[in-house]
Amino acid sequence: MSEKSRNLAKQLKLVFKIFSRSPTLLFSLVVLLVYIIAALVVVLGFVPPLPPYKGGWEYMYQPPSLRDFPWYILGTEYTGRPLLLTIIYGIPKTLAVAFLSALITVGVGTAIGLIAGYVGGLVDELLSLAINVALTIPTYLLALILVVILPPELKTNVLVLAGVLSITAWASLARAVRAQTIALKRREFIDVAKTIGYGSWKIMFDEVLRFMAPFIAMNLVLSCVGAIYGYTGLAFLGLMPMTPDNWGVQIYMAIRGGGALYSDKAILALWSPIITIVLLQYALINIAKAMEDIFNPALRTYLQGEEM
Amino acid sequence: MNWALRKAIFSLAAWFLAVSISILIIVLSPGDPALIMLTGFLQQGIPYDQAVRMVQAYIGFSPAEPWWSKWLRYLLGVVTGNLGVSITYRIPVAQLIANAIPWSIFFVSYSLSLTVILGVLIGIALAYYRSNTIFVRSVTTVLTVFNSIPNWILAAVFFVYIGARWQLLPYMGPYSNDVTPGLNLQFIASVLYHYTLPTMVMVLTSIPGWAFGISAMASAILKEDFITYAKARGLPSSRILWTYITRNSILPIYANIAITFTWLLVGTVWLESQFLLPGLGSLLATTSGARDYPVMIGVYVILITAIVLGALFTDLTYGFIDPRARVGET
Repeated sequence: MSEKSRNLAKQLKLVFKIFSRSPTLLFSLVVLLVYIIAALVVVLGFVPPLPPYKGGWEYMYQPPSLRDFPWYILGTEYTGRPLLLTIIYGIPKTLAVAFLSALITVGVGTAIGLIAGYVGGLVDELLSLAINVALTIPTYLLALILVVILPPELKTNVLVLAGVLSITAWASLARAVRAQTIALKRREFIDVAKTIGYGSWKIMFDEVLRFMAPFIAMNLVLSCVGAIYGYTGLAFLGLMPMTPDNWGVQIYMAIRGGGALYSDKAILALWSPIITIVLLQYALINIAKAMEDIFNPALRTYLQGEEM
Repeated sequence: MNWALRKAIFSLAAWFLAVSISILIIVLSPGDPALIMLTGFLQQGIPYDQAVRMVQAYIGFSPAEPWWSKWLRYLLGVVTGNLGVSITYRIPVAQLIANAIPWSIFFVSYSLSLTVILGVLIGIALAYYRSNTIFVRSVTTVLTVFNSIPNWILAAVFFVYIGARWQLLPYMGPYSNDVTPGLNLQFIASVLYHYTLPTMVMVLTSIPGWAFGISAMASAILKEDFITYAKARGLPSSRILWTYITRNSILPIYANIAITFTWLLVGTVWLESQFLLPGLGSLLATTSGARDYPVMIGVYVILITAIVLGALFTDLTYGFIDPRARVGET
């Protein structure tokens, strides 16, 4: 037990070292933390409810004001609601769709890759065929068709959206996990585990998976990036329900309805959701990169060696 | 050649399965297009029998038949080139697609070649000048920022600012109105000029992947013994850079061309519709908005076909460049 905790402390120290070396990474972590706190604040009900829709030109894209501080400091959006509030309301839903979709993508991809690589034989042949077919179907393409044909009540369901956005996204991870499993299978410790009498499932999901944990964690973060791209991008095409709390819909309306093409009236409504999306993607990509560094054994030994 | 034939048969099987599974997912989902269309026609007051026949004429299968028969009938249509009739345009889907294909081929191959060339150059520069920390840091930061901007957001921003607001580059349509389409220099120049902004978006958002990949490969190769030996032999550094480093860095990630091709092809859905360009992507985007199911599914099948062909082409050319690929198991 003490061996385990010492190992954990060593790993944490390494993680801390990688973080402290890079200000961009620190910035990215702070950004992600802010989004998560904002999501929690909304979910726990600390934010006032969205005021009702107000039609009419005089309510749309109003300039910033100090009314009901701080909710109107970005002005109003296309439904006359405070822009800041609708952007904040978008955070929990976007994060929920992204995280659920990433969980499905990574869960399915890891399981299929592990089983194909470890079991081998006919199972591997069949699963490899499934992986190769899924690789030829781009997720966003099939997701686009499904988002159009699904009935509206399903399109607003977070779980359905997450499933649609991960429909074939698991394939590239499955391919990578399969290749790594085949390589790991030849190592001695697997033979030792077999001799001790460990079952296949225990070896696969405990011994083999442990080696791939950082790689899988990195893919979890990258899958979030992909799901956010799909969720907001399909909304920008006007194919998602026109809910005011989707950042893609906000950008779509700012350009098509807000006259962003000719005037600065909707400039805040155009740039606020753009910055919200890009900042989140930037933070996630940087965090994924740091995980790749932890995963990269050469860099890890270099950093650990320096410590001694 | 046996190896190439095996690749082709494998691709055909993958294409068949991918199209079949997609059709089955679409037909079995709670929003079967045939049923939605039937409901639409019935609401317009068309008698049931006639509505069923209309659905069949438009999309190729009837809402009343079982799922396997819908799948078989649609697949048969795909093979014989009959993809149904568009509801909005009232002309065969195959004709709409045939008009769109050349534009998308041009847009995607133009962006793809620029992405690969610039991506490789930047990646090699990153690895070669790795001792210059300021250069590496700034280029990496810019690349990471472009990596985090979804291509449709960059398209929207360029459309609004570089196009509509500042009028620096054309931002609507494939060519200007005063040229006659055809094989004349004016038309080609006009098309290239009009595709500058859309291509910029495509290339800027897909370069980071290539630059990072190439730079990682080249950094590893720079440490190899044969580079040291080549330097010791007194080879000119330009020869080491191009023949030794660049060529060996491209080989391991040559297959990524197929991935980038797919990525750009999917990107046309957003970019072609944003900049009002003809092509498969804008056809899919506009008909999705209008719920024109026959066109949507037809374009989808053609895009899958293009992706399979792109992967096959990459595989075959890779086999010719690197003979080791031909004997390998994959």
